[in-house]
Amino acid sequence: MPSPTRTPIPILLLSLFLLLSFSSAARAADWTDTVKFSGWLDSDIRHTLDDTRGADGEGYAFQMNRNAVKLRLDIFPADNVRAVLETRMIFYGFSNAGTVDDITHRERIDPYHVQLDEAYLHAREVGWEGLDIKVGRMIQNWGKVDMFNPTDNLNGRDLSDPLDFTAKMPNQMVEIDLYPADWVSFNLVWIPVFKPTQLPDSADFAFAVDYDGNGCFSSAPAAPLSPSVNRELEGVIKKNLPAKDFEALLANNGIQASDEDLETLRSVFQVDKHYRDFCRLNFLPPEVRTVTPSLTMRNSMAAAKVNFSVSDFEFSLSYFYGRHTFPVAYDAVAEISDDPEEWYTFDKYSIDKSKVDPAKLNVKYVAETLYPRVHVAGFDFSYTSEYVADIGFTGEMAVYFPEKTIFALRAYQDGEKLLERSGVNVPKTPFVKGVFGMDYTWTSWLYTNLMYARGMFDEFNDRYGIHNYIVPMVGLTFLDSELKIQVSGAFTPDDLSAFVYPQLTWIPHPSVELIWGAMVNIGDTELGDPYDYASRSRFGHRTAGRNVGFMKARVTW
Amino acid sequence: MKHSHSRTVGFFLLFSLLLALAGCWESSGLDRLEDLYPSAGDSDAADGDLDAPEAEMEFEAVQAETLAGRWAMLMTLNSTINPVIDPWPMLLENLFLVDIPEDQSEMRLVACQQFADVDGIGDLGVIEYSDETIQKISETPLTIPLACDADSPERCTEPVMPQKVLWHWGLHVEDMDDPENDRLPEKKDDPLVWDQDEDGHAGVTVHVLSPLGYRYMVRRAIWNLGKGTLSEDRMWITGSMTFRVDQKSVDADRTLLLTDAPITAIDEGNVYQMRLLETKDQPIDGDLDFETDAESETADGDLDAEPDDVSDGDADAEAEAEAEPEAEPESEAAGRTFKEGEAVDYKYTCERLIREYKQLFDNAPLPAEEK
Repeated sequence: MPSPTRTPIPILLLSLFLLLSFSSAARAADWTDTVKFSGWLDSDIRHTLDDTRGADGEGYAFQMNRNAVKLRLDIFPADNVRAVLETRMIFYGFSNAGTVDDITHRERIDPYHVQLDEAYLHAREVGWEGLDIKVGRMIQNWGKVDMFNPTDNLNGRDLSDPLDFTAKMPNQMVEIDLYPADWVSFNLVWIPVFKPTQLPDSADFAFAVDYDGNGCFSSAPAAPLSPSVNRELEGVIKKNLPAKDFEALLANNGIQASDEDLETLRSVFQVDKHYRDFCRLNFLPPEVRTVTPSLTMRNSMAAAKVNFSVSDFEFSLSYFYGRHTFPVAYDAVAEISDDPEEWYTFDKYSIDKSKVDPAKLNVKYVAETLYPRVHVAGFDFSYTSEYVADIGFTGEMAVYFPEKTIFALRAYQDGEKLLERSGVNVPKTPFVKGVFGMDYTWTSWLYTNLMYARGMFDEFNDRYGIHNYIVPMVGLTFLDSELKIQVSGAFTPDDLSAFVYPQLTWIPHPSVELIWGAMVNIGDTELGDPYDYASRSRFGHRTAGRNVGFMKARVTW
Repeated sequence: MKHSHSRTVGFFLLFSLLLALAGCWESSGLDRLEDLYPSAGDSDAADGDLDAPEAEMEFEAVQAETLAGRWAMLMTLNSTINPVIDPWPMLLENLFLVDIPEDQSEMRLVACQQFADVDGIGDLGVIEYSDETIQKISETPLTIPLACDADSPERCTEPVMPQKVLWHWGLHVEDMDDPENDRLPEKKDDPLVWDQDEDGHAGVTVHVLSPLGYRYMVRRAIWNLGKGTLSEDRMWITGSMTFRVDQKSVDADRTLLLTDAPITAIDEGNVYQMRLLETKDQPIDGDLDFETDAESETADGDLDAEPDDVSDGDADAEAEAEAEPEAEPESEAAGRTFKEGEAVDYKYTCERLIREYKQLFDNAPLPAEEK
């Protein structure tokens, strides 16, 4: 659950009231002519359906008990001027109170969160009838395809709610729109300051350390280097662990040694020093940092798009310069010590000393990620053919010219460098993301959509690579659209994982929706090769989040 | 309408300009780590850091219009070896003398030595090859085709084309269906096993330092050579590579050594570097000169120079003559050329290369992709 902020709700409501008052004063005749008020209220209860993708011992439980209100004002204080204000208030429904003192504070018993999704002014016909300007906090939606838009890189993603995976992170920007003719228009956008994607809670599992049934260290996350380097790093750590039953180890490796050879091996392997009890290893929680771009003009982002409309055929050419909004692995340091006070890198990172066990070999792992720069050249189109049974075709393709990113890894022991390895994580070679889709309405009650996508939002041709996805959707409506069944999902043939997202929607009254559904991930929860950074199953691994069933009620106005 | 067309053209000009700026970026985690955790005082010997600061050294060497001549080749290969249970880092260095004939159509590699530096416990897993074994292996040279244009060989700037090369020890590969992938023989009396070093033991003989003994083995190395690029001064050819090593113990003088020690390649940081030593018209004596800052102060008459030091003076020539009493037969073996009528009496020997290679390659450029 995201940590709640303390934004005072009364101030927000007062602001909304003042805006309403101002607009009504400015247009004294009838303020409803100058203000459009819309929004929704949403209540969302979720329960986990599996006990394999969470943290150990988490079990089955309610995952969400959320109430959210979205309030949107479109204010028209003068001709050709619009102000947009969109806020969301979210109450999580889970108490954060753990002490008696906590239960004397409402915000700890009933934590909440307020966010401003959009707040911008929109001025039309500025100096010329074909020129519009927008300034403020906005969410841009580029591209013609539904949901997966490789040409749309202006906003980061808001993945805080795994079921709402197309949500975006608003950002401050300046937009100039030009409409020189009916068939062509231009969009120019400048984003002064980069803002990253908000990751889901399950992202932590990408860096989780695993333990076996005895609570002993089992495996650590693989670095984006070759499997052999990851094995090498583990070897460096293992060499420092206390002894195990050496004879049994030999036998497990199929080695039949005579007594004489066994003694020789014990001697040359220095068994008492080196073989190796994982239960004596204390791998501290990995610390993962992000290297955020500095607030300089050089780190501003910009994009341009030209849109063409020729009869039923619409297409756009676009260009984006900025940064990938998902973090990409950059470097890592592992330090091994019996005495963490001696750590060379000690003052470079934070250590929870309560986690340090002086009776064990302590390992601290600190990684850094960054947001690589990128140029993106894009093309998108949509076309509904009256000659081919009214099938709608949409497609997008974007060529990414990424910043080359070299990942480096070091291991230290008591201040001495044991190992340094590096390798290209993101090559500078351009890569392509694309989507092609078709939709078709078979009857008044059956609608289908099928897409092929190469590259998901977060993929950037690092060592994890670019994957292929088949994204089908079937929609059924009954009882004059009072009842809807929709089943959507995605499947990747690259690792044979998928998710299925069935929903049943009942609309008892206009504007009221009651929804029951589930999000079910399918695939290997374990890594194919724990030393291979790329072996993570896309939808099966724990980073994809837990399987949940949900019930939502929403009223829209 | 005309007005809007000019806007469109302007838009695409801007677009093209911005795209042209792509490709100049790089974020290096190595640089970042160095900023966060400076390496001052660290020993780089154990970490296989190929980008370590290089010693000041000055080359004055032969300059040639073509690639024809004798070259030294160093392959630096990162791997792990698993002597019994756990893999340990191992740096393999393969040293070859390489002869390129006048038509530059191919190069022939003659093995001089293989060094294996295992970062493990004591000498466990460390091996050595006798001079006799290496001498016998060198009698089966490798021939690698080059990519130079026969009509204009002087333009050859990327002489080594990406290709796969098989290097085998103790194997009758001519009797194998698929020499790259066939299962290696496991018994000494397998007809595929060849007593290549002619010492009466199957395969080739490896001296294992710990546990002490002799292992008789067959081995297959498969190199995937990347494109080799010629330096501007035409003195170096460098490229990246990946590799695979398969080996089997077919016999041993103690049971324990029958256990195989698998070698697993590490994909990063593997390079081959070639340095021109001499050409037909420019013999080695007096033309290959190493001079470090420190040595230059005592160059004249430095009779106590390390074996690595080679300079012009008479004292060095004498020292060299003294140090290479067996140079002639090795030169004959390594100086064999490809075609009749092209025999060139090169002077630079394997023995000398083994002595000098650290210094020879200390300043060697890295392939672009490894920088």
